[in-house]
Amino acid sequence: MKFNRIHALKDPWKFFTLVVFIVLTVLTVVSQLWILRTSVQEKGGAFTLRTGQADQPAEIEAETLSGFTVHQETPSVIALARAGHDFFSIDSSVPGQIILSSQTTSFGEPALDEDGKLTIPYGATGQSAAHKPATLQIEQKVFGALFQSSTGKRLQVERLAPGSLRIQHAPRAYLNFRDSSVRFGLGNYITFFTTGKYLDAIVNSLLIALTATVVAGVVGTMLAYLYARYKMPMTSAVISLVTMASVSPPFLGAYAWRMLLGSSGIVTRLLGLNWTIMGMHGVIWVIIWLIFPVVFLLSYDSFVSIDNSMRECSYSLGADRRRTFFRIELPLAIPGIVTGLYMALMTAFTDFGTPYIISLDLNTLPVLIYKEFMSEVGGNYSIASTGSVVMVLLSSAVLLVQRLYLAKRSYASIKTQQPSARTPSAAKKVAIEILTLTLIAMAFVPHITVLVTSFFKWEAGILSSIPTWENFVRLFNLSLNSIWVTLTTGTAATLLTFSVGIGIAYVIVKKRYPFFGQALNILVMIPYIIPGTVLAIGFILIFNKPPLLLTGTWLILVLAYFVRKLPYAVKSAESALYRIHPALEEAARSLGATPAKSFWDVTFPLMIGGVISGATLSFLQIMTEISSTIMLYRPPWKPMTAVIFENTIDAGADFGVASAMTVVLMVMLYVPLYFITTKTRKPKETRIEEL
Amino acid sequence: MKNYERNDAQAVSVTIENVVKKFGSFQALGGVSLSIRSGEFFTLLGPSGCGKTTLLRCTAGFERPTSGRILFNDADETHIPPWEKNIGFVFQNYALWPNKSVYANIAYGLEIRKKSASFIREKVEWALELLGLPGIGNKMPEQLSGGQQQRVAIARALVIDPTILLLDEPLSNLDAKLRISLRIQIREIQKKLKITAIYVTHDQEEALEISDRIAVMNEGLVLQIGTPEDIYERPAQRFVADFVGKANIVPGRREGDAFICSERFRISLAPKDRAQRYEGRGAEIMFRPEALREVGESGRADMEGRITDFLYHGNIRRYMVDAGCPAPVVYETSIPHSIGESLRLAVTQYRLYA
Repeated sequence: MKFNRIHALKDPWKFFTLVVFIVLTVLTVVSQLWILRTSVQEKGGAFTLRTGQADQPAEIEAETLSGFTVHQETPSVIALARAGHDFFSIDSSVPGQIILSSQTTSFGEPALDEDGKLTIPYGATGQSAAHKPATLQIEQKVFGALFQSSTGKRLQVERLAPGSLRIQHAPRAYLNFRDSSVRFGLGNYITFFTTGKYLDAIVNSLLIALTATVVAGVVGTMLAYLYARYKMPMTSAVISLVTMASVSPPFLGAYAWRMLLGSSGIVTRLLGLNWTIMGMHGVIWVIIWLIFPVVFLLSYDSFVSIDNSMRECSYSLGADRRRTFFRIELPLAIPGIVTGLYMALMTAFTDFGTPYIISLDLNTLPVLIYKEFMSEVGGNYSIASTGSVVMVLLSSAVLLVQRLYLAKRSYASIKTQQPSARTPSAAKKVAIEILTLTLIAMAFVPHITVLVTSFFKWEAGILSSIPTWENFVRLFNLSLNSIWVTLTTGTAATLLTFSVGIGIAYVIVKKRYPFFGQALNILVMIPYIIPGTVLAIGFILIFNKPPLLLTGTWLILVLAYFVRKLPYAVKSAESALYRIHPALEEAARSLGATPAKSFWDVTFPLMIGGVISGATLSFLQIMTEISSTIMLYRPPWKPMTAVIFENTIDAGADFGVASAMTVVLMVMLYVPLYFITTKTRKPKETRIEEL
Repeated sequence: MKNYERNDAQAVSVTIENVVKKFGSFQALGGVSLSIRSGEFFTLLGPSGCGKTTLLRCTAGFERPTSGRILFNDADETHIPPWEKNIGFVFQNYALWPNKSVYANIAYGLEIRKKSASFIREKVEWALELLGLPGIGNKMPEQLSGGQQQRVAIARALVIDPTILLLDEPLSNLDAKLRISLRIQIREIQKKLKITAIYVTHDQEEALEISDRIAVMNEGLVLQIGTPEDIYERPAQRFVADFVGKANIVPGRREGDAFICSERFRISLAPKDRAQRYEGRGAEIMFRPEALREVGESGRADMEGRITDFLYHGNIRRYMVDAGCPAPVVYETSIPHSIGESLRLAVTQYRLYA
C-alpha cells in the first residue's frame, strides 16, 4: 500500500480503530468522568422544618436533613451551615412566622407561584441585586385529618433587609426547604469519609474481600498443588466440576446458604439452632466458595506448566522435595497464582448479590452505592457517585499492585517433557480424596439445595415438605419472557464482544498504529477496574437523556455486558494471535492473498477454536451477571438473574419461582459448559496471565 | 501433461538501488545496491543480524525500505505489496498451514489466481513430482518430516510460476545430510525452470556450492559481490576472508619484498605488492590453510615451525603450526604428521589487507 494512498477513512482497519476508540471512550471514560463530575457537585441541601406551636419552637426533622449542618443557637434560633460555612438562621420566636437571616448571604426578590411554592433567589452578600445564582425553595404542607394534607393558609413573605426575610405560615405547618444551588467541591467526599455508615462500608468491603481471598487462596492453591503433583484418579472430573462451579450465578451461593442456615432456614429450623448465617461471617463464608474455583484453576495451570526438568535439576543440585517446592516450584508458579488471587479479590470486592442477600444491614461498597443510588432518584446522586469513585480508585490500586508485582516476573517455560505426577501413597490418596470431596461438596451445596427446593412448595416464605411442580408452572406462565431476554441479550452481547474483540486484538498485535494502538490497549482494559454497579451508574448518567435515551432498554443491557466482557475477549484473541507465527500469514500474502483474505484464510481458522471456547465462557458469565443488570433493567426487559434476585429479597417474594428459575439457568449454563470442557481443556482459556 | 518449462524471457532481473532500512533507531540496511540478472541464482551471505533477511523481505514486499528503490525488470516495485507481485517465498520455518492438507497448502496460490480445478490438480501433481513427493497430497503437515515439509513449502512457492523465487534460510532447520542433498535439489530445479532466485543463508559452504554469484554482507552493508571463486580466492576484505572459508590472518609488517611477522615467518611478496610507500607499515596477510605446501630442506620456505596441535577431519588433517607469530598457523593437508614435528611451508596464494 503506497503511503500516499493511506487515508484514515479509506483504510478499513484505521476506520474501525477510530470508531471503536470513540465508542469505548464514551462508554467507559465519559461515563466514569460523569460520575466523577457528579461526585464533586455539592448539590444544595434540603430539610423539613416543623414549625413551632404555642410553646414549642420550630424544629428540623433530622431524617430529612441533607447537605446542611444544623446548630441550635438558642431554643428558637436554628443556624444552618453548609460545608463549614454559615448559611442562614431561622428564628421562630414569634408564632406563625419565621425569620430567615444571614450575614453571608443576601436574598433577592422572593416569588410565590400559584401552587404556593416560594422561590427565593440568593447570592453572597455584596453581590449585585441581579446576580443571584442560586435559589431556595420553600413549600408548605399542613396535615389536617389523617392522611390529608393541604397547603392551608398560603405563605406570605416579606423582605426586611438584603439579609433578612420574614415568612408567615399556617399553624402546624411543615415547611420543606430545598436549595437548588450546585457547587463544585469536595464536600461529598468529606461527608463520605466522616460518616460512620460510609466508612463502615469501606471497611466491611475490604475486610470481606481480603479475608475471603486469603482463605480461598490457601485452600485453592493447596488443592491445586495436590492435583498437579499427584496422580489422582479423577483429576479431569475434579477440574470439570471446579470449572462448573466457577460459572455459577454469583448470588446463588448467598441465596442457597441463606435458605439453609438463615434465621428461618431449613437447617436452622430443623436443628433448632440459635444461630444464623446472616452477618459478616456468612458473607465471608459464601464468598470463599464463590471465588475458590478461580484460584484453584489458575494455580493448577501454573503448577502443571512447570517443566519437570526444573524440578529434576533442583534435585540434582542437592535440594530435597520440600526445598525444591519452596525455592523453585512455588516461585515459578507465583505469577499464575497471583493472577488468580487478583481475580478472586476483585470478584469478592465487587460482589453485590452476596452481601445484599445474606445481610441486608451490612453495608459493603457495592450495596451501599446501590442503595444510595436507588434512594437518590431525582437527581442527587452525590453519595452514590462518591462511593463509585472510591471503589474505582481502590480497584485501580489493587490492579496497579498486581501489575507492578508481575511486571518483572513473567516466566514462559517451554515444556519439553510431560510432568511426572507421582503416585501417592494409599493414605495420602484417601486424605486428598476426602479433602476434595469436602471442598467440592461445599462448593456445590447451593446448586443441590436450589435443585431440591425448587420441587417443593413454599408457604409464606417457609419451605414445606410437599413436592410440587407448581414453581415451574408459575415460572412458565409468568416469567418465560425473562428466559428470552437473557438469551437474546447474552447472545447479542457475546457476538458483539467477540467480533469487536478479535478486531481490536488484530489491530493491537498486527497493525501497531503508533498512538491509537497503545490507547486502545489501555482503553480496553479500563472495564477491569470498574465494578458492575459503578458501570451501571455511569451508563444511567449518560444515557438518561435524549438523544441517547437508552435507560431501561434492551440495548443498554447489551452495551453493559459488551463493555464488561470486552477485556477478556481482547486478551484471549490476542494470545491466540501471538501463538500464530506471522510467517503463516506472510506465506499467503506472498502467494497473492490480500491482507484481509490472508487473515480470513489463515489466521481466523487457526484462532477459531480458542475463540469459541472463550466466547462460550463469556456468554455463560453474561447470563449470570447481576450487579449491572439489577440497576439497568426495566420491564419488559427483565433477565432471569433479575427475576431470581427480586424473588429472593423482597418480602412476599416467590422463593419457589426463584428456585425454579435458578434451576433453569443452571441447565442453560451447564449443558454448553459440558460441551466445551469435553472439547478443550477450558481452564487454559480461563487463564488471563497477560492481565 | 503440459510442459511448464519456461524460457529466460520470463525470469525477472532485480535491481536494488541504495536501499536503506531502519527499524526505529536501528539501521538494518545502510544503503545496499545490487543487480541480479535474470535467471541467476544469487545468494546473500552473512552472519546473523547482517541484514540479509531484511533485504530479502524488502524485495518481497513484506517490509518497506526507509529509502531507496527496488526494481523488477526496470519497473519500480519498491512499494508494491507482496500480494500484487508474482513472487514465490520460502520461509525458514516452512510456514505450512497446519490445518490444511499438503494439497490445500500447495493449491492455495492457484485458487487465489482463480485457476480451474483440473488445472490446479495437474499443477499440484507436477509440483509434488518436481520435489520428489508424489502422492502425499492428502497428508497433513504434522505427518511429514522436516525435509518433506520444506519441500512442500518449495512446491507451494513454485506452483504459481513466480517470476522470482525468494528463499530465507530454507535449510537451517534441517540436519546436515538433508541440507546437502536438498540444496543441490533446489539448485537443479532452479536451473531447470530457469527462474531467478535470491537465496539467503549464513552457511558459506552452501553459498559456495550452489550460487552463481554471492553478495557477502555484514552490519547492513554489502562488502563484496562476486562468483564463489571470486569470493573465496580473492576476498576483498578481511571480514570476507574470515567469514567465507577458513583463513589464516596474520598481523605483521612489510619490509622490502617480504611480509614479516617473526624470525621464522617471512613471506615473499609478489612484485605488485612490494610498493615502496608501504615500507614499514603494519598490515595483515591472509592465506588459506590449504594454500600452503611443504618444502624440503633445500627449498625456499615462507615459514618454519613446529606442530603444536592436530585435529583429524577424515579427508583432511588440520595442524596448528607455531611459527613464532601471535597465533599458530593453521595448515590443512592429507599428509600425516605428528605433534612436535618441524615443518617448512611455503604460501601458494595470499591476500594483503592494509
